[in-house]
Amino acid sequence: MNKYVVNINGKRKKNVKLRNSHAEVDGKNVEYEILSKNRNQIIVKIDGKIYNAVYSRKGEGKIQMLANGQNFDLEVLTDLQNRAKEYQAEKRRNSGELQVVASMPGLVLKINVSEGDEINEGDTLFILEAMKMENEIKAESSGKIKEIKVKQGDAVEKGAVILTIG
Amino acid sequence: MKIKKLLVANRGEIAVRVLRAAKELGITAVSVFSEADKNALHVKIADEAYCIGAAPASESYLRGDKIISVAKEIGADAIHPGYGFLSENAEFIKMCEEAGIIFVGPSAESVEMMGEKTAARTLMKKHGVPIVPGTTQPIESEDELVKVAREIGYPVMLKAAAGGGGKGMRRIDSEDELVDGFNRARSEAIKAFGNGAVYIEKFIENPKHIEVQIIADKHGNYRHLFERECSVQRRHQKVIEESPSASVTPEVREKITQAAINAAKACNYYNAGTIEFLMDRNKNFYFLEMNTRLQVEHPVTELISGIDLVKEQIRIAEGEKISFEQDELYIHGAAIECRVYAEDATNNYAPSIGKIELHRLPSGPGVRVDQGIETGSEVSVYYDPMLSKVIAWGRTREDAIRRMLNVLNEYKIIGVKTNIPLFFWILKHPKFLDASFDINFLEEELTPLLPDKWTEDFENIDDVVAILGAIIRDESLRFKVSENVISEENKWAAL
Repeated sequence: MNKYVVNINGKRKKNVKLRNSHAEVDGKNVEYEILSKNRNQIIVKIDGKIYNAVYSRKGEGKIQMLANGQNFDLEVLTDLQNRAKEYQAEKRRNSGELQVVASMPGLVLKINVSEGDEINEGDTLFILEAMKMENEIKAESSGKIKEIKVKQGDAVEKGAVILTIG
Repeated sequence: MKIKKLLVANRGEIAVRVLRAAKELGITAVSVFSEADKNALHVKIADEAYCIGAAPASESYLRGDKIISVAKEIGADAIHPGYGFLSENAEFIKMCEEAGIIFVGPSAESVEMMGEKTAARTLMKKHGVPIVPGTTQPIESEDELVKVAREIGYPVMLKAAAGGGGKGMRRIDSEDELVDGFNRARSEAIKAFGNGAVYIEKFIENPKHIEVQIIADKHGNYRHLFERECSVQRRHQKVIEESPSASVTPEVREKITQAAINAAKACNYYNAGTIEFLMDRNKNFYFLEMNTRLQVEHPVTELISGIDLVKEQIRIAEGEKISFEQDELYIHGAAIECRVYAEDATNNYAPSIGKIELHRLPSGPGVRVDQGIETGSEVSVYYDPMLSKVIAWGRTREDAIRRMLNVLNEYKIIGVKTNIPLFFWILKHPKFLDASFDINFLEEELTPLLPDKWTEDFENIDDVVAILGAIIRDESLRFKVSENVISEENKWAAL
């Protein structure tokens, strides 16, 4: 089962779980079937109703969509990305230093920064593979990379500190 | 003289429209294009295409000299200007004449007569075409002011003769405010334009924009093709047009089409043309201006009349007579056009530029799309953001509206944001449905709801959209993982 947090037009958040042909949106269960999907169009049957949408990828997790005569800007985060984002935001509020931790057990596929790097909010810090998916973990605030505590390829436990931002 | 090779001096959907007409007539269809448009649709569907300069229109599509020299070089015997760009440029028409090239349009004289707004007003008055009551000369004295205002009736509008763009205009509702308002208008005009000349006009409250399509040949034959209503406008730009107007009665139609023909005769017009009027609540109409060219919204007229206006234009330019008699025409059903712009109506109509990743046209009975783009086209900052026009025909206005709603749902376009959502809002609005809207409709009904409160009227499909977003993301993540596995394997294989 894969969990996502979908931010709609930067205003409304929906929690979505997908498992085979079942989807759960904010706790509500529906059945779905993908009738057709390509780079820019997706046709899905949800509880018997057909939805035909066209979309365009606008960067990592960002999707522009035209559905039912309406324009949507979506940001789709994996559950892990969302937790990392929330955790970082909380940490930033609590202390000057920001510890970026693994919010799930996984494998550090790639580290995109080095100690001493100046980074901006939104920069990708590292990629954590968990539950067979790659999750780009992004910086929630700008700053300097103080310390990197893991190596590429390391398996990490939930809560392990990956790096710190000053 | 038969035209053998026609150069279309335009781009986008209108170039495509004209090229198609030329090809249907067996004429070699030639496109010109800017460097930004080398892969544009109007280039791809032409028989021949020639680059005329850099992306900015001032270096390409507005370069009459370059266009004429290309026409001469390639042996084009005629130029069709489309709309915009060089279409109402009398100098360009003269240049064509001097080069011995047929201009598919009116004479330079007609364009000049209608181009100067106050002169056109005087000309119309002389030929019995109703103009907004008022003076054509500045007001000289307070006595004259009071007298004229009484004659034309309140409310009146005081306008700076040198004004424009809404500046130097003042509405006066009664005689009490008149003299004071006049003095203020005058001092404002002096401050703003350095010229205190002020004239007076009747203020038309909540008018509708009604225009009449006419066509005339070089043998003195004039026909009208009924009216269009274009009252749905934003910032003076038309958004939705229809024909016929639901507010024009047969009696008014009789009068307004006759007035339009009189206007065309007044400037010895030939070619397709449009006379624009404002119509008040009592269905009095007043001349606004004449557009001496083909119009963006010509397809709605074509659908209800069955006449191909572009082919008629070409034949008339060749010197032929109009191919139909007035009494052969009747209004067949109703047609509506929506102008699809690359802009974000939720974000103050911000232009949306980029690549059209998918463009899938709707189809079915009574559907027409005039498009200038296709999948893969780039929408740039250089030109008008209109991508296409969607036109729906129905036996009645209600049928046409319902068909349009369906058609817009089937129209799939992504990569840039478009104003398609706005059409759903308008086409379901009670004031649009009962035809009580006027030119202030969008300003009064939509503007207070911007930036995006108006979208609250839509069906809430957040749950569906969230699922779609998650599925798209889910598939893309899995795809990436499998790619990753392969590359890892390859790495090992390389070792």
